[in-house]
Amino acid sequence: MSVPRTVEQAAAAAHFIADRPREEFFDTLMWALREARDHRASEVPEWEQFRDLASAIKEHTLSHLADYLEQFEASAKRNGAQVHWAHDAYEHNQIVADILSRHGAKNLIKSKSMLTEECDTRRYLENRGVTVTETDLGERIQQLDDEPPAHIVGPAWQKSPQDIAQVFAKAYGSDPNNSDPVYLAHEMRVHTRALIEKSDAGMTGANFAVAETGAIVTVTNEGNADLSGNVPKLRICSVGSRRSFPQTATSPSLSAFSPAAPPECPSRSTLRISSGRARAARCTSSSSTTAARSVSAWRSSGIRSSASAAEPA
Amino acid sequence: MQVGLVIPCYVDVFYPEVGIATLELLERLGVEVEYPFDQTCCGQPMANSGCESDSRATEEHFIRLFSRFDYVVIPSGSCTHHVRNKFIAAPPSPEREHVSQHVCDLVEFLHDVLKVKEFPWGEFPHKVALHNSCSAIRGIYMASMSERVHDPVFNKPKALLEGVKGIKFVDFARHDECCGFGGTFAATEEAVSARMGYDKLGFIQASRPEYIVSSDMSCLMHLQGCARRLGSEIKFLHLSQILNGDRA
Repeated sequence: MSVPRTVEQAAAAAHFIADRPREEFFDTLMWALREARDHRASEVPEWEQFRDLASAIKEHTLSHLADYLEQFEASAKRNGAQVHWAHDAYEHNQIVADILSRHGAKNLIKSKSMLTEECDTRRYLENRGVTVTETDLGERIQQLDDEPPAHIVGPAWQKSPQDIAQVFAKAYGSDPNNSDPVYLAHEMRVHTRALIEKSDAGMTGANFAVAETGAIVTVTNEGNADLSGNVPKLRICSVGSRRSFPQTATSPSLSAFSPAAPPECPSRSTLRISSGRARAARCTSSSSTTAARSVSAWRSSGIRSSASAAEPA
Repeated sequence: MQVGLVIPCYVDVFYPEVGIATLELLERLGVEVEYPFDQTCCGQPMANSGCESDSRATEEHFIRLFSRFDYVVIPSGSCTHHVRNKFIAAPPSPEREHVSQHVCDLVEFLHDVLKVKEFPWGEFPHKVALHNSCSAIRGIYMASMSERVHDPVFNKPKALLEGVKGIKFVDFARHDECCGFGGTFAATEEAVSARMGYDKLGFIQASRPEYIVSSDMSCLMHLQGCARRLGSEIKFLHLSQILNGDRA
């Protein structure tokens, strides 16, 4: 059984901070993200309303979780998906390994998923002969360097371009002294695309699992989740139970908070929400529309739910 | 109006002059203040460390001592935040509700209850960097939060200090970021805590103030430790000391 890796947080932080130039680089980067986030927030007049709404939706959903999970299962099955339930990391990993083995799949590509990190799924599968390729740039960098992600949004934020050049040189034989981001991104693309093309299974996480429709919403800004979800014939989506949401219209308000809006992606069904998010974050008129739609949809469902909750059992 | 005065443990032990300034200031403003001598810690360090049930006896003791007052005043944002918003180890009772609903940070009591505008006995012709603690800003809303970009800007500690003759404020970068203290965080995450303190001090000192002033002595204690290690000459004062008429 695979034991999840642990990190001695305080000691690791002390080690990181002792390298002053690195710490300053990181601090500058983090503050730039904070400023980018503030700038984005300032462009969306309903930002705080979105946040309150998101909290309310989340609280509501968590307090009716069992109902929404069952509704999601029924909806997803109607769409032709198979739904498996796992009660812990070990069972989750067993189920994934079993699905892969039943399909004879040996090459898995995956997009970033904190759930599979928590379950240490990659190591579990690799120990069983599956080649796992992370397709998120930061996650892939960490995989090549045999490190867990350092942050849930930016897995390799702690690495400088020079660090990444070293990691790629070791893994791909690229120029260790060329830390130009365009060059590095190109190296990654060349090596990862080949693995994506020969993959026989794809795995993604989920930002939302929509109970009403059985849809999975995955927010991506690199396009790698599109590839992981849509290129291989077999797709596995690993969803934490707390990712459930009542209705499609309630999801955009929860995905409106990103430090930088992603580029528009060619959309499949799972991406429609993410490009909606990009619009919401960019343009005030359409974000108002999104907010209005979310609010009204939420209100009607909220009234229904509170009414049914008030009825005696 | 009967006011019960709470002096936080670390103020009692390390900065008694801040407790004295708070008491003198309230009495100067004609408030009838009582300081119950049996008081202890409010239980915040235990509750914040996940030992909620261990803070029950402390919270019950606090409620026994302070539920008879019209207002409970504490010169500390984090203790106020704890008593107001997280006082749940003691079982619910009308006394607990009363204490939680009538506890005030000193700033809130002066600004919102007494509505003091001027401190004519005060004079402080110095350049001051005002630091508001996270608990004061995000726990009990004594100042607007820079991350809530659409909210109106307000700053109650600053509004009070502006009632003192001669005081000048300096602006500094990342003005409402945490100083790194964070109570037990300073002990469990020493490296991060210290780095945050040095960063904060760096941003503040770049604006060349003579004093760093706060309504939370715990932040000042942390920053003072950082300043001492750097050999910095910068001086520290609690807001109550300036409002009470300390000259330097």
